[in-house]
Amino acid sequence: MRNCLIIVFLFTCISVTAQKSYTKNGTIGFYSKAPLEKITAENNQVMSTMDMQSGQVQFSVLIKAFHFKKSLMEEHFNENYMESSKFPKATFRGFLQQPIPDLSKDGQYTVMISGDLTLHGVTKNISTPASIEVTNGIATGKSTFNITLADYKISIPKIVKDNISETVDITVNCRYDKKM
Amino acid sequence: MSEDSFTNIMKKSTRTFLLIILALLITGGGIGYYLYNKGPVDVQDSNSIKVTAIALYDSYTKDSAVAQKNYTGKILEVSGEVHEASLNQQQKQVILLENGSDGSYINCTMEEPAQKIKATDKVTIKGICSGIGEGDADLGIKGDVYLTRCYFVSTK
Repeated sequence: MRNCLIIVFLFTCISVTAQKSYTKNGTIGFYSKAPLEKITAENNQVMSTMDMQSGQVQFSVLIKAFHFKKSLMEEHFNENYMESSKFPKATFRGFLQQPIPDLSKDGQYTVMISGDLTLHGVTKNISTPASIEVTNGIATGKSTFNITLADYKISIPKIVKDNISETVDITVNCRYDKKM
Repeated sequence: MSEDSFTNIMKKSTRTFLLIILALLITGGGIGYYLYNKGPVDVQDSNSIKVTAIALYDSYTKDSAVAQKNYTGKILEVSGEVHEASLNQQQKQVILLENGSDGSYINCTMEEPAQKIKATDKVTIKGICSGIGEGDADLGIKGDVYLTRCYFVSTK
């Protein structure tokens, strides 16, 4: 009986730990559409963890890993807007809202995520719908939401007001292929 | 000097002056346009700082402020042993280099098409250092040091 309990306990431990997945190479992109210019940038080095059972999700990105098509934009993004030497990372810590779907089964799920987004040294609570697709036990999470730059104290000089929109679309696409 | 020749000289100098202004405007505009549209930095042809994967990671974990000053945003040539080669969601090759610490790596996203690389290969990779990423202490995940826009310098 005691042995049985130990075996059951061990299996529970294994199944619980297997519910935590992560990636260090997820993608976050942003898109700013202004009258004069469309600006896009992508970061393929996003660290994100997801606990399939508790629904806890975390993201952490290095601002300097965002890349642009034009080097001047990248320079302005780092030096003038995001001040990446002072604020090198952006993070998000949040939860999938209840009820959390059974992510151990393959399928397509729609969830709501809410939590704290820290960007440019400012933390704001955000909520966004997201989709999670599980294929062969590997979850891929996707979401698109927009943020207002002024909320994060990112100011745009008047001279380039027409080139940069006040809100930017953020897209998230992370494949959680590593398991704990 | 007659009044006519004086007017002629004045006309000429005004014209020369206007031409110079025009030439300056065109050159300035051209330089501005070139700088504005300039593409990303050419990693392959740029000077780089040579460092081993182990020394690079050590530097970030021992004194991240110094490492940030010396390496973040700079073009590095990092040599080390391959832990894993995989493809990311954009089908770009990702090479993890051993850095002497279990569970964390020098994480390089390649710009060039995927090459046949396997664990234990010794490679040198040139790319832009984005800094050290955050881990997750609760889950025991350590942060990687990231390199982007990478190219292989050698793959022995």
